[in-house]
Amino acid sequence: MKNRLKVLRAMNDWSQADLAERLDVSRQAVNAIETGKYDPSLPLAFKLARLFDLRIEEIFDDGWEDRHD
Amino acid sequence: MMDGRIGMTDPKSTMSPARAMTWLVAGLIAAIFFAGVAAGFLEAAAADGFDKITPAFGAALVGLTITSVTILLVAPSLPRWRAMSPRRQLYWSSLGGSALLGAVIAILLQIDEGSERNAASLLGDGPLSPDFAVAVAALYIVGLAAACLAYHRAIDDHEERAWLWAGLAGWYTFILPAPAWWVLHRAAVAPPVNAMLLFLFSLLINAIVWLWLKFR
Repeated sequence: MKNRLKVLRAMNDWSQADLAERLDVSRQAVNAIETGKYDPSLPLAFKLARLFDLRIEEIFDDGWEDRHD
Repeated sequence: MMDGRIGMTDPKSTMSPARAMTWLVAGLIAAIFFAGVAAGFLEAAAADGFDKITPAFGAALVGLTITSVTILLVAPSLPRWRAMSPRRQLYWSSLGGSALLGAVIAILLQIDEGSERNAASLLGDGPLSPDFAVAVAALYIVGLAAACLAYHRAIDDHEERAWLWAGLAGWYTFILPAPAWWVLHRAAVAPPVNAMLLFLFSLLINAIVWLWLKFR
């Protein structure tokens, strides 16, 4: 699943470790989400959305709209 | 927006790294000193016929206890520790507890090996003293179960997923070859099933999959 996490993190000038600390997860978890190797659980996705004050679908893109255009 | 918890420490209850190091070194010196005292005392007791606790075992027990207590007293006062979330504190505590458990078992194995029973070899099948075997088995089951319970309550989603796949891979590594080996042995085309070899192989695959999913 594609996501804008790296861009959002850069906009706030946070390192992966900074974001990991704010989410209370490991740095490896942030890296895996950013590189699309791991899709976060729903609670973690909500946590991310609240942290950036966005909706989940504004951070993650499952490609549904591309397939149905 | 985006208010983080980084740097949330209470300066009144933290300890500087230099002071913490001083306490750790003092604790280690005390551990070595009292381990020597225990060994000397038990050697003198052994000369009087007391052989329930060997000097090496007593020294190791005293040394490890003092070291553990020192770490438990110093670590919670370190700024870095206090800045951690409760989840991370539980995570590192469970890993530290597991490491301590491993050290205790390794020392017990080393002491038992002193009687030339080759207990330190994981694949060894020589006889063990019943007291030693019961102590290690109980320590392993109870200690590891407690550490695992704390660890799995503390890990994040990503690590949990890595463990689920690693556990499944380890499980298949055991259940696929074990019955096949067993039937081949019954037909006299393979040696008897070596459970420890299968156990180690399953551990190896488990570790490889976990490391790959966690750190790739």
